[in-house]
Amino acid sequence: MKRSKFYLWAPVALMVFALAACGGGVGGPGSGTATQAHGSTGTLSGYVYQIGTTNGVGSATVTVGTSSTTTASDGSYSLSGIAVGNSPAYVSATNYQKTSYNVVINANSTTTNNFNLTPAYNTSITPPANSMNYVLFAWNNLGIHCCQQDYSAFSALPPYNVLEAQLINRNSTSNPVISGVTINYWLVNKQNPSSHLNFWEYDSNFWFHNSSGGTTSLNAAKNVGVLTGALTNGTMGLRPDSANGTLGFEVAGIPASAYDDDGTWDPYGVAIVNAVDNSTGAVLAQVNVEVPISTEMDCKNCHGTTNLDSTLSAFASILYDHDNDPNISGSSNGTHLYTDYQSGTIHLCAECHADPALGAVNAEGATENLPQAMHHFHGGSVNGTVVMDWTTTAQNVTPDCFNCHPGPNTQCMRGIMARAGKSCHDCHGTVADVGSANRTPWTAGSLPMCGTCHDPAHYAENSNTLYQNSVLKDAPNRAMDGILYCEACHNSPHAELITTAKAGAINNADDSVPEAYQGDNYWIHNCNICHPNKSGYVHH
Amino acid sequence: MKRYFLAFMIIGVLAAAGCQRGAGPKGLLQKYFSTAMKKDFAATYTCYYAPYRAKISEAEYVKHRLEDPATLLGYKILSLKQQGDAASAVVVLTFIKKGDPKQPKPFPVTVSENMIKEHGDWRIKVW
Repeated sequence: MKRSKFYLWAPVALMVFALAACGGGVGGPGSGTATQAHGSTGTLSGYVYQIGTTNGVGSATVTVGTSSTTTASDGSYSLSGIAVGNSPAYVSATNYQKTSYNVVINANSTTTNNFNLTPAYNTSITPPANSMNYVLFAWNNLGIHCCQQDYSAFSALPPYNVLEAQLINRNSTSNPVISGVTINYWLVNKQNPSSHLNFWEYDSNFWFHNSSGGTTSLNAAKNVGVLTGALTNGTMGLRPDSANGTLGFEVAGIPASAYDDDGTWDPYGVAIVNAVDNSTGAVLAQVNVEVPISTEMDCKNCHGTTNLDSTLSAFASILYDHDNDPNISGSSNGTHLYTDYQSGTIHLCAECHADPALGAVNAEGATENLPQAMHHFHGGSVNGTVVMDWTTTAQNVTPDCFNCHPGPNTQCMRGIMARAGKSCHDCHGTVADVGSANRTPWTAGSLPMCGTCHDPAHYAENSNTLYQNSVLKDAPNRAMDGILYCEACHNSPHAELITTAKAGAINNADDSVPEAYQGDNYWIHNCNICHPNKSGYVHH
Repeated sequence: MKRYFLAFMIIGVLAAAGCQRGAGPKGLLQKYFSTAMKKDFAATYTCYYAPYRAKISEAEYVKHRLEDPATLLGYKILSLKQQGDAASAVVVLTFIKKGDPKQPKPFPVTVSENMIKEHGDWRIKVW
């Protein structure tokens, strides 16, 4: 009986919903409605700004699927009747670059999203590359590397920096160039890092268990990088890439210091990189590239607050806490880091905690890798107990990540994401997220992916691959696919072009590559950079 | 006689003004290193050219110089070349890592310093 009643009323209900969905209309300037025959819909609204400002962009077009609207003069917009789900929204305006951003639309509710538009290219600039036979793209792999101010108590991270490069012959169709040339690099004013870093005085203490069942030492000669033996000047080797084959050059493990040799505090150090023809000795191309490094990995924000001597005390207090905190040591697997320190023995954190960045595996009873242990303890709970209330303990810096990571002063985040108002949390999540047991550090899926927020059809990384290891694979001219690393044109994560300088800053080394070849500070957008006599600005 | 006296006075005033404006690259290096030796890093900071000071604040600079495990004990200018508004010098610096039992002795570091004339004053050019 009940079933027959359902079958009687269901068509009526459907008719009612259908009639309601067919209703609605088009609002005033800045708003629009999509026509939907049936199904749940929601609304997207917000502002379109010129990036890095609060200046609204009027008459911009916001499009989601087949529906679109135009912003009002103040940049505001509202677009209703959008199908529920995750969709790319596209925004364009005269004199601005088009942008896309994935939005999540919920049924019968409004999603607020502001978009940021970058001004259009100045197409009247004659690229300096026009007069060149070769162009050399070079970049730092991560945008910032960290090292400690003091290694006398323990080591979390050794000094370790990475530079990469690709060479293009503008008069050849056989690119990139990977033979017959030598890629040299020279860190300007940073040839003697041991003069201001005490890492090499203590590195004989640092080792870890590796995946082969043995141990790896970080002991290195003064001014020599760990694991690779890299120096602050030398030649790059071919960059290993099992997915794409050899496409470029790399030097990993450069022991860069945040101090110049004369003591200048210089976290935005510059390296000169050039390509030399092996047969003639001629310099084919040369660029300056940033080698960012910072000691603003500041445990003493919470563990101590004064100068160098107290920094040692702050680090010693970390060791003491590690030995005595019941949430870490327990009663059956207590550590003795502080007593070791007092007797002159110090440790590398990765001696026990796996660190994929070094190749270290868990050992000595540790069950969490180093990033997990650090962020889990500082941002979550251990055995059901909240061990630290991050919101009250952290220093008042925004974002809170800057309590430990560079930093309020050293600009780790200085790329176009920062320019668009994004913070660490927008891409990395909370401290607890980073400390999640489900996360394997430094792997695709654990780090932010461009395709999560931007149209994955055109702007995503390669499948199961980090941004810094991805290559262009959706070029309009397929002949370009698989040749250039994303970083060659867009620069490092955290420093994606266009980078943003601090207020008032007038020198931004991150822009030196596009400025050298393109004459502006945008990502590499001008086809003429690599192709003589070819104009155009579309690569995706 | 009065005319000559007046001329000498004018020349003297101009010369004095020039000395106060900047004593050249060597004077810059002397100020740069002597203030660092005294740990008067606020004064050292004023020796840098504008692009550096725009990127690194005085507070940040002083903080990190004070945290530097190495202390500057002395300097010796080996060579100094000037060409127009640019100059370069090779200098041997003597540092010590005070309080560090692993490196208790002074050690030398040879550096190249580039300098540039900026609005009439010589400055240390970092990049």
